[in-house]
Amino acid sequence: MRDAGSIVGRTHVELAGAVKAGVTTLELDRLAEEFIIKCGGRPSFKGLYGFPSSICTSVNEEVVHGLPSLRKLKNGDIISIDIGAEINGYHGDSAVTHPVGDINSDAMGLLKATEESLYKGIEQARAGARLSDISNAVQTCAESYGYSVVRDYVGHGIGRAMHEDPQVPNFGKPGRGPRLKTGMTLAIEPMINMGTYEVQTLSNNWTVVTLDANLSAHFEHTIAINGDKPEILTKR
Amino acid sequence: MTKLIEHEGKCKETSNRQPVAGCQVGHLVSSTRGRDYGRFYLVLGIEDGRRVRVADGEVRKVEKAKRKNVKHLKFYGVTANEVAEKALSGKKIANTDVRNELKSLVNQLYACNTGGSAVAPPGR
Repeated sequence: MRDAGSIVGRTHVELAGAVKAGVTTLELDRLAEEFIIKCGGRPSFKGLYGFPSSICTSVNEEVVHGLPSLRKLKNGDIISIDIGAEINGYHGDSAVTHPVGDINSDAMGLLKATEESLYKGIEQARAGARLSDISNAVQTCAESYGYSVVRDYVGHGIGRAMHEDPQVPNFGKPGRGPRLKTGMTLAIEPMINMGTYEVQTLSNNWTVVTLDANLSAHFEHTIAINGDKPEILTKR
Repeated sequence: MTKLIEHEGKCKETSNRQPVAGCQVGHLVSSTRGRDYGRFYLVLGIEDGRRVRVADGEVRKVEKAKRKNVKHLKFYGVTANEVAEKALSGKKIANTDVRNELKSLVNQLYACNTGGSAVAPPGR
C-alpha cells in the first residue's frame, strides 16, 4: 500500500508542474499514465467499471469522474485531478484540486476549505474512533465556511481492490458506524461545492457536475489507521 | 476515484422528488437508484400510482420501456413536446424521436445550468 501510495503522490507532484493555461486534460492523462508505468505501477482507473482513462480530470463545475479530453485549461479555471495506481496487487488513490493561473478569491477559498476539511477528517482516523467521526469532521469544517458537502459520492475502503468496504461519507452525525482498527486503509475524499450539494451525471455517464453549475473542489488521501496517528500513504 | 453511495435498507432522500401526480408523459427524468443511476430518460407512460415507463431510445428502447418507481427518479420539470404529443394522440413513438429529444433537452438543461457557456458531451 505504501508503494502504491508513493507512486500516486509522486504522480501528483509531476502533474502539478504541468497544470497551466493552454494544456489539455488529455495531455495530463498521458503524462500521468507514462509516469505511473515508469514507476512500475499500473493506472488503477483505466478500465475500472469501463472508465476509459488513467486519471479523472474535473474542471470547474465538474465534481468527479471528468473524462480527459481536448479541452484546454484556461486561466482562472480550477481542475480536480484524481489519480489511482496499483502495484503488487495493492492500490493507492488520491485527488487534488489545482488552480490554473490566477483564480479569484472565492475559488481559492473553496480550495483551502476543502483541503482543510480533508485534514480535519484525517485527524479523526485513529484506532478506537467511529467511522462517522471522520464524516462529521469533514462536514463541520466545510459547512463552517458556508459550502456544501456532496452526498451522492463517498470515500471508501481501499486495498487489494480500489473500492472496498466501508463507505466513508463526508457527512453525518459523529459516533456511528464501524469502530476503526489499526491496519484499516481508507480513502477519505471530501467533494465540496460552492452552491447546492446536488449533483447530476452528464450523458457520457461518467462526468458528475453540480446541479447549479457552481464550482466544486475535491481533495483526497489514502490513509492507514495506525494507532493514535493516521499515516498518509499518498503524501505529495 | 469516488464511490457512488449505496444506501442500506430504507432509502435516504438525497435529492428533490415529485409525486406521480405531477408526472406527465414526455417529462425528462434521470434515475437516482439502481444500476442505471444517473441515466436520463423520457417518461412514456404512467402505470399506476407509483410507477412510470421510461425509455432513452438507446439502452432502453421504446418497445421495451423500463418500469421505474417515481421515488427512484429525479424530475427536471421540462417536457419533450414532440414525444408527449405523439403519445397522447396514440401515434407510434420511434426510438430516434426519444434519442433526439432527450439529447436536445439534456444539452439545454446543462447549457442553462452553466449559463450557456458549455455543451454536454455526446451520449455513449
